[in-house]
Amino acid sequence: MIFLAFLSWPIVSIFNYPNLVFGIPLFVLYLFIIWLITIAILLLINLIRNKKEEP
Amino acid sequence: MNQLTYIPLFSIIVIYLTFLFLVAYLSEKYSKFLDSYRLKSIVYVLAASVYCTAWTFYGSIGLAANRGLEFLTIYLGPTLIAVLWPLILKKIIRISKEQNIISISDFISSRYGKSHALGTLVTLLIFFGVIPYIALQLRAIFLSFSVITGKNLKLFDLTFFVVIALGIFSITFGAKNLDFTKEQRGLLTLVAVESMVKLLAFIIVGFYITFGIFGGFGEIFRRVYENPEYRRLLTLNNEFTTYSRWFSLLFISMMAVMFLPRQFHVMVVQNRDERRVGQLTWIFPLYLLLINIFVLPIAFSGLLLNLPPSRGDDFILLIPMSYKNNLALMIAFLGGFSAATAMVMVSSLAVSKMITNDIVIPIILKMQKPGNIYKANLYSTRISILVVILFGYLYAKVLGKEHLLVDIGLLSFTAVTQCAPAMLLGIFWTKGNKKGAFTGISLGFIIWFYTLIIPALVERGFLSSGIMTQGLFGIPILKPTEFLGLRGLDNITHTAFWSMFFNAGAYVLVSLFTRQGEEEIIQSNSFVKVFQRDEIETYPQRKAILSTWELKKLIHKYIGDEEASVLLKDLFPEDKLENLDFSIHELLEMRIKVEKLLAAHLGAAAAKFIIEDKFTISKAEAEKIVESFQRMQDSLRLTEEEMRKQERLFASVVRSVDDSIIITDMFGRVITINAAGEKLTGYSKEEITGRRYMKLIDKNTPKEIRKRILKETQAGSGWKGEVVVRKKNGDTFPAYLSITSILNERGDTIGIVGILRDITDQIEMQKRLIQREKLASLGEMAAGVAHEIRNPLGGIKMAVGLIRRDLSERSFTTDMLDSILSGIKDIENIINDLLDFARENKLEKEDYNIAQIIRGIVNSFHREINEKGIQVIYNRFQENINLNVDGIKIRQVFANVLKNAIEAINHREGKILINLYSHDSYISIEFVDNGVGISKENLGKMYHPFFTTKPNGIGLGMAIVKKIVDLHKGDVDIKSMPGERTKVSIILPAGGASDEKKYSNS
Repeated sequence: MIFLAFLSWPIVSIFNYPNLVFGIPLFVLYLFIIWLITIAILLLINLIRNKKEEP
Repeated sequence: MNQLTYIPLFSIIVIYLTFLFLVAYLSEKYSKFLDSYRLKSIVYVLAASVYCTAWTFYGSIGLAANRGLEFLTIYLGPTLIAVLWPLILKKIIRISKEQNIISISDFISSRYGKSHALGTLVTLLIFFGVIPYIALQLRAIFLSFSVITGKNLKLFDLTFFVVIALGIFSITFGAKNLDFTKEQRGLLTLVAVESMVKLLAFIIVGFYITFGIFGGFGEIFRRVYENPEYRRLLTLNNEFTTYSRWFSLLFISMMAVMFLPRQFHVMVVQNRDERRVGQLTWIFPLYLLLINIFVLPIAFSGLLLNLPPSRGDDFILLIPMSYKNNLALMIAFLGGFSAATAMVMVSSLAVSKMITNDIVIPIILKMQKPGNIYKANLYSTRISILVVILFGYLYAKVLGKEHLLVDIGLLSFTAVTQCAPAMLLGIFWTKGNKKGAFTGISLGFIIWFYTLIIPALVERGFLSSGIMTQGLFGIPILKPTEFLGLRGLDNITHTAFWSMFFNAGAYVLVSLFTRQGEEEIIQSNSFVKVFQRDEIETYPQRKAILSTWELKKLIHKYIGDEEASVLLKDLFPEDKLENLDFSIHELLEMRIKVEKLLAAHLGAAAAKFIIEDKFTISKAEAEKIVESFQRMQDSLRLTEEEMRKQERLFASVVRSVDDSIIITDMFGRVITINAAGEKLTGYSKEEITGRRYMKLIDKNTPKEIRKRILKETQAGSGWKGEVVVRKKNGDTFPAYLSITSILNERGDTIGIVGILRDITDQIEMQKRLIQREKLASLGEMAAGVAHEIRNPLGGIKMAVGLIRRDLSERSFTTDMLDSILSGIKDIENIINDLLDFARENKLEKEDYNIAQIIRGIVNSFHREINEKGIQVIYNRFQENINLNVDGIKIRQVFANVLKNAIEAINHREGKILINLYSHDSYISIEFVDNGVGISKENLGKMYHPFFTTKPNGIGLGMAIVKKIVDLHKGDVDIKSMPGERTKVSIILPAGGASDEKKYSNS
């Protein structure tokens, strides 16, 4: 739900500008950061689950 | 532009297809050598990346060049739903494995009472939904051929050869075995390799364009930003992508990634281990992210090179061609080719099985003389593969070039999303029923067709435009693109909204107001409560029984002679294969097994139909069955009673065992634990049930051992050894664990029995024994050394004494001689201690009054006591305690302890309390001093020989005490609070003293 919220209209609209940040469009940067954070958290959850289930 | 001719292109395709064939063939042939868990997991995750097709490879770039960032929704959606996969996908997989489900139509049909009608409806929906998607892939191949060769291809050209080759691949590696629940190793490996090829190709070409042709991301984005026409592509622009479209694309891609037939086939049907879902949840989104990194740079590069946006789908080929880079061009072509071919193969296979099981087989079964169903199944599946691919081929040929690939793909996504309510609500809500699912999917299908396909047909001139401008029958609210007056939404959002509204709404409402059939109740419980097996009624009593010959006939008829022979051996025990001597309940059980076997080949609905309806019975046979039922009931009652008896016996055995017994299921989750186990681990039966037994194994157990336990139990071979167990309260203790796998008649592991024994005392005992052995060898050595030193020392002492006697006047020499004599005395004391320590373990026992011995010892230390001003208090002191002990040795014990107490006191208010009392069958002698105390660290070393904290001691005092007390079968206990006090307790057994012989103090 949290990730969905980050990709939904009210929050997305905050970053929906064409300005460049570090040479990358702000909105592109925002979406890829959210994407990376989601992957990192999924990886973390998987690691924790594996640690709980296996030695 | 640098275009290639047919011949090199044809050669490359032939070489690549040969390579793929070899990959698939060798991975099947040498599957035993590629059996590692990790490798299989990688293949599984990469195969699931078949989600990324030509749409991704070409279409995303086209979409980005025309509408900016909208393409990202197709990959962000799956990333979002991946968060829920451990909850949803795992459940779908578990259900599919339990029910032998082989396709998405089979899943929905099974859930709703194995309904034929529902299976057929879903198959039609998927067929119509997926054909455009397959066409998209083939069109991408045509376009890439056209771009590379610079020629417009005709109906039967190079692409037709590719289409036929793909069909042969699917048949060879997918439809070889009709049991789709079995692993299709060759196909999966092939798809996994293609996933790697397309990812690498995209990254290599993207890198070349971004950094080879342009100066990196920064330059491309800056130039796009500086161009007012292109700048709007850097945001969500209402002109292209509204927020509602953004949201609806996210939603349909979340659903499509699970319910597209190829995704369901790879992620669910071909899943061999639920744990792989965990890896899929993060590796799959990572794959999507990596394959999208260069989409925007390539799309923008094409625009900056003034290529027309309408050819955006081809930018990845056109840019290398513009720069005459044939290597990059070929890499891009192979990447796109891989993306398209993998999708076509898996999709055609999945859809062909649905067509066969839900359309062709039911029609054949309804014929009067069905004939050889196995062959019909086999040929139907193979022909269906070719039909599906050819349909896609023709669709692709008639499609205009003006369509973006993405627009075609979204048709398919919206179609398969219609399965979502029946699938997702169906696995969490038992009330959802067949009528609800059928109504919901039908309405969703109709809305999808009416609001999305009709406008497309009008656009292509197949229908008049009147329906678009005036609505169906001239009713304005029935305009396909403004259904029920809803305006302002793009076509996908409009269709997604209305189709989901009617689909989910009808499903819920109809389910609430209609009843489920008997089969539906059983199936809905099996699906929703798949993780709570006990609650599932798996053996419905109403099922009829087939005789053994009927079952055997069925198997041969429907799954082929060769495979049937293998399965029959597996199904029927060796000794009963020929004589067919089965009890009624054995037959009932086998009937259910056969139904599941057939389901794996033909789908659940067809299997149920065959088992129940094709074997109609005569009146006489019906009477026989009634009789059989009665016998079966009696038999079951008897068996139940026997089982209860066995259970009671088993339970009492388990209860009476002192060792902890833990029983788990095949996944290592605890099913039960006996009372001893509850006591040992601290967990109650309720608390530990459902948890993994490995939780009990502490991390202090070496990792190799923990891995070994898992490996051996999975292999069904069991394990024995020492581990460290963690209790509920966090305490740990060493334990001996013996694990044995419970195997079924096929030799598969169905559970584990673990026996756990606390070995703390045993280990302590071992330590003591080792310590004793060490002490014994030290003693021998000490005795030898002491003996050797003692004699020469005697000579030295005598000589020095004589010299000292001759020198009467005090001088430097006499002082030195005195100091030598004092040193010799110290050495003698040490030697005496060593000899005491090493002396033979022999006691010369007599009865002594202990109080008198203690008082005598205290008196012998009166000089030291007085010097330090220590107050000796006989506190709880029973004077009349007599013991049968070795008087000399016991005296040494008290002397050593008292000496330590005196030496520990270094202040003027020293006190030593001495207690002597009897309790039970023991005598306690306690020396309590208020000296410096002993640190916790040193407390454990107190009995170690040669351990001392004193500058002049050699550290044998307490070792001797311990040795002597042990010889008397007593015990020594030391408790200390550093800086406050120390209590040394000597406990001796009270027995052995005689009344006649009393010892008087010396």
